[in-house]
Amino acid sequence: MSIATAPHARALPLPIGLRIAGRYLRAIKFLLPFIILIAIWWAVKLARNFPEQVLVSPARVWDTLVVLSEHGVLAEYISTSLSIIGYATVTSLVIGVPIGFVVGFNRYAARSLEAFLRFLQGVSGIAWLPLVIIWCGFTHTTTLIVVIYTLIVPIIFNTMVGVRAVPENYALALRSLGAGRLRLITNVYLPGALPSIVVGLRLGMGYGWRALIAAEMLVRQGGLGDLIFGARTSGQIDRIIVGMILIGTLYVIVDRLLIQPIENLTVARWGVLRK
Amino acid sequence: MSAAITTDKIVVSGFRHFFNTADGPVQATGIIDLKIRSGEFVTLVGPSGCGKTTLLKALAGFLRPSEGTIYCDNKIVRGPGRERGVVFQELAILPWRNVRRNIGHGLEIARVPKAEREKSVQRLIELTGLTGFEDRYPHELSGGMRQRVAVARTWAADPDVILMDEPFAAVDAMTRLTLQEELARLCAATHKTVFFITHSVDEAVFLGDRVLVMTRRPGTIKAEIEIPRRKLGGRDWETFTTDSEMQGIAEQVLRLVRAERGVESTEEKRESSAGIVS
Repeated sequence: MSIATAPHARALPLPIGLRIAGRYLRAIKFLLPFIILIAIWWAVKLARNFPEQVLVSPARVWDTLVVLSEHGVLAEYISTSLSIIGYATVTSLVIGVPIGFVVGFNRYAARSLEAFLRFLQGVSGIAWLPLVIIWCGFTHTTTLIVVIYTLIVPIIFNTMVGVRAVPENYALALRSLGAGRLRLITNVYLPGALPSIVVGLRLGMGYGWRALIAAEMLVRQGGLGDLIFGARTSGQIDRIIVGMILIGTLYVIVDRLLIQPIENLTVARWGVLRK
Repeated sequence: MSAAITTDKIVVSGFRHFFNTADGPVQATGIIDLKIRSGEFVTLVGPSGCGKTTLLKALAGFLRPSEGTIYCDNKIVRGPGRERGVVFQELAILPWRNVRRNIGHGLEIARVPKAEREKSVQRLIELTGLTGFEDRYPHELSGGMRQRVAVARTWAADPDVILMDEPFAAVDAMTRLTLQEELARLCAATHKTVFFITHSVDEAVFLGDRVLVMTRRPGTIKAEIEIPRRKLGGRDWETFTTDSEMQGIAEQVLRLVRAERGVESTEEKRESSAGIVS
């Protein structure tokens, strides 16, 4: 009997005080590196007494952040960046996943395209900017093309890898259950490749976000890259740092709140794919 | 060979297969002729690399024979079909479907209405001892349980012919005995024609109505042994191991297989280094 009651004893809730303390500890662990960085920044600013044109204090950055968001300036820049990355992501998935499937199914295409895709990964989106600016001018189209290019290569590559990693027996077994080609794709290859596609999406979003900021800095048609590059010409250090903080924060939010849940949903639920 | 109309479920006529490798074609099997009656349980034993799996893949329609023809119900086999189910050794049930949805997959493909589908699935869950595991995912199951799901999925689709490629080889020894007994019971409860590949002599004699022995590569069928199944009362290992007639047959089959294995050790190494898997 005592053995039977043991799990209940373990499941007993902790005292309320301890639980709240635990939650704070977890938040502090996550925030600690940021706090240290800000402390060092502030200390450097105070110790060396840098003029405002070189380095501003965290307090000044905070004030600027509040002022800019109150005037709706930040929302404008943020929405430009987010809508381009969002549009690029959807387009890359819609075009990239089918291409990855076609390449993944064809052993010869896969082998010959592997080197080519790696080559494209090497010629980063930024390296295409001069050409695209000549062709499309300083427009959102230019930014979009560069971001899609950056995003789509890892999506194609990882879709291809995912399709090829699906064990042959899954498909053979289903074919002997009477499955046709479409059924094999929707019931075997798509779910089988999904974890790999999500990895590709996650990588692509990381590269794409960086390419977006760089492209915005050159194209100067709005977006967070435009915000920080524009602030440089007028020497507004506070604006530059506000922009940088937003770039990092938005990326963390997109990655944690959008992509990681998808990854958990697919990988964690199905367990280890093989065996 | 002519395609005479027969009452046999499966007819293999003049089958021979070659694989293309970098060093030219390699003969996977010798010429094989084979007939399987409806409702018969045929087991095939032979040394590894003799071409057992090649023959099964041809029966399943996964590969086109280099020579010869395979008939199922007097129709030439040209590809996989719903009337011929396959159970693999491992890695065949889908990790993203739970037990119930894996077992019902064949019926789902055949567009069987949901209520009817669930009835058949429920029946097979009971027959294969999977009750209580319906909502589990494959990674939450043991190897033996996963093979039960694979067997149940094939049976649920209700094919006439079931092809099994060493389905219990990757399962631990104790579980294997149970699964073999359960398969014998399942076959007694359903009228299926089964073609079962194994490299275990005991398994072949225990399960088969007829045991075929293959030579080493390129494999041909060198012997056929009818198993007098009716004399065997219960289909369990205790009865089997104490039945002197069954033990005599098992010894006879073992001698036939061992005769192929004696010369195989060096041969096998050479062939496996060529990178060909049967």
